[in-house]
Amino acid sequence: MIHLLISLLSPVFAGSFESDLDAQVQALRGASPQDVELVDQLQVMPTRAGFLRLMGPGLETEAASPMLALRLIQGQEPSEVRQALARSLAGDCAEHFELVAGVYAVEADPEVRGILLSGMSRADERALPLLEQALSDHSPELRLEAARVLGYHSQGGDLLVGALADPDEHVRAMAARKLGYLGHAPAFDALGGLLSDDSALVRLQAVNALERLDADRAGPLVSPLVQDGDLGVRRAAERVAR
Amino acid sequence: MPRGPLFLLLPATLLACNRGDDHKDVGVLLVGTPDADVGPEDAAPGTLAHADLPIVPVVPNVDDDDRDGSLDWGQGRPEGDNDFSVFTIDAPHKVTLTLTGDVESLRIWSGGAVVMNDQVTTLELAKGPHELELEAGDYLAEGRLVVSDNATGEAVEVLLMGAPLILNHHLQPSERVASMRASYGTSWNNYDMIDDYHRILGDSFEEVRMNTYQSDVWVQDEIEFATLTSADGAMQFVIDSIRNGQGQAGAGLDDLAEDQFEDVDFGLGTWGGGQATSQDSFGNLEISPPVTVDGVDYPFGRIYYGDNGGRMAPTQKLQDFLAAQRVQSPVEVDSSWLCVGHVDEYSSFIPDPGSEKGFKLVFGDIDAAYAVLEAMDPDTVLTRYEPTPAKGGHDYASVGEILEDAQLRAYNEDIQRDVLDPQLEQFKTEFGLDDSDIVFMPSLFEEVGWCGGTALGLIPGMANLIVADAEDGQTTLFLPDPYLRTDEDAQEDDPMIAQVVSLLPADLDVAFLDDWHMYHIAMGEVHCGTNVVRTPDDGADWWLDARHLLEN
Repeated sequence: MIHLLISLLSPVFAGSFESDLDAQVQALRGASPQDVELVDQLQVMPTRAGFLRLMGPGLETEAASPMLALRLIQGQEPSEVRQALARSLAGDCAEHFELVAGVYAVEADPEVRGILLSGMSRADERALPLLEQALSDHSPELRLEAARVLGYHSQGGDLLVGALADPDEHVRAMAARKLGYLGHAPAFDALGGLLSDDSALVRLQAVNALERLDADRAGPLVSPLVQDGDLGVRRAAERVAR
Repeated sequence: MPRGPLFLLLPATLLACNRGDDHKDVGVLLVGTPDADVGPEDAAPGTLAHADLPIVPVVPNVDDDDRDGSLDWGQGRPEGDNDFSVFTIDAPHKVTLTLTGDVESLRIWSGGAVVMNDQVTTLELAKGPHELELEAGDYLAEGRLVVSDNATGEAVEVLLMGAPLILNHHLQPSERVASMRASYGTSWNNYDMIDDYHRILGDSFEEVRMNTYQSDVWVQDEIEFATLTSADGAMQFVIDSIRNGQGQAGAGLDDLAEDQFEDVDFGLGTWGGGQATSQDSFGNLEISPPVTVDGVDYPFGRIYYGDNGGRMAPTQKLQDFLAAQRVQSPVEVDSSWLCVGHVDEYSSFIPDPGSEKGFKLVFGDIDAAYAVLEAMDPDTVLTRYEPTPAKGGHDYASVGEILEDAQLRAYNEDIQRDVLDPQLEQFKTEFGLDDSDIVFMPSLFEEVGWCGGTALGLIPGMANLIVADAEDGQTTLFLPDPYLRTDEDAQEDDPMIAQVVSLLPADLDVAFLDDWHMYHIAMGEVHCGTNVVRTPDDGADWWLDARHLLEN
């Protein structure tokens, strides 16, 4: 697994990946010209959240993901358009993990990287090394996304326990939440340590996660938080301690 | 010191606003007028200076009848139907008028000339009837007009007041409904939805042109409709968001308000500026029907919007302006748990003529959604939800796959417990509601990638609805089609639709629209893509029925 990660990140890999992708797209142009034309005709529209997304029947073709990946690699379009490309590509991560991981490995735009990473919630265990690496990224937003996505991987528990010590409260809170969702019992003690976290957001997620892991054990542990200054934490503690 | 009536005046009233056939008694009775010693200096800032004085209301002349880019207030003689209010003084002797207060925003006209303004604050009138025209240049501009009998020294007083801007609520009749017809190719369009609007609404439905507005389909988010009323007039108004088509000035729908709505007696205004957030979209600005909260009547309802107290909030200038209108006392709720972050993603108000209050709150409810799903055959294939990842759809091929997704369930349990339940309590408190006033709308949410773990509707958010009057006058709800069925064409087979219809008031018609490809997978629903101009509320007069709110 580690070997794969290193190979993904190497410059040699990047050049090889682009040329392989280019060849693949050229082959598609010969084999499925109508699909390629549909992908070429894709347009962007603003979502309600403000970012762009691709629209059009070209997304339903087999040609879509390779062509979108190539456009991303070529990097010639505005960032907001490239984010739209990445969203569609990331959505296809289960089918085309290699494409998503390959683009991710050479991508510099943090927004595009984050979007590509988000697609790995649909990937198999090959995504774990990338997610582990992302948990150490300097960007708290990327670490947060990595923690979120790890929650979709049954083997992500141990990595998430490590993220409970992240300097960013949102990352710690996400890791706690996902450990609860995963039912990762070995995290119980580490989650208990978060009950005194400075962040109410973290304390709330810790209480919720402890309840999910073992409600009986969690009750006495969280009972001091019925006096918490935060209403949400207090409510959660009252529920669990009851 | 209370004083007796000074003048014999027009029938039944001391002062009357009139305009031909539209004459409407303002209800201003100066019999037993109040203590004249209460001056403006005695009033707290932002409050009505003279709580017990009658009010002569006027629609502020803040439209642009000649469309020259300048408000009519700054352009001399008012000429539009709603540019002024007329009132009459029948003087038994020579009288002197004295105007104080917001004199820079009030003018009195007579015979086509200004006779009182910020430069001329006193005026003598001869014995006899005098028809005067009151013009205001600002919302809630407030002046005190003292009319003194020069012979006896007695005086009466009235307040002259510009109307507050009142945002529309869903119990007001609809006049115009607008949405964009858009297409990105076969099956990537909203033609069915637009055709349904045409079929049901008839001529009151109007299309917004896709090419003109750069495919910005979010018609709800760019503009908010409101009204200004007086005893003898009313004006439509459109608030143009600083959203600016999610970009710079002129982008997307930014010019829609000017192009399609601003007109004679249809004003336009923008509050705030700079970089907009998602919370500046007007799907995040909603209004309840008239409510009574802890004994306080809000005859025009209350405004509510999503604001987590931090970065995610509507522009402060708009918040301040809405609060300053006083009659719809805004409520802030936390919408930061949503990726888009708009209150219309999980709440709405609908008419319920058969109920005591006359309306229901529609509020998202997780348990209600699971109850429907758990009653379904888990093998039911969900064609719209099945994995079409590059299209940005969902990842569930069947009902069973949704039910078996433990993480989805845990996520939604958290939302119900940590967000929706506490917030419903807030809604009950702020709008004076109990459980019998609420439609618990089946709702499921899922996480959005690269959006901080925040939520978005998995099942199309059916609280995100439009209330409008059909061509035959029947009040109709337009909801997104949930597509919890295999045969996409068979709405009658959809158990979610059946359940939702059973929850809604029987007096209303319900239409489920296909908003999937153009809105749902682009993070919005029917309400997000539609807007409605409504008839001014004639059930209440702000200068009479909301007076207690003006005083606070």
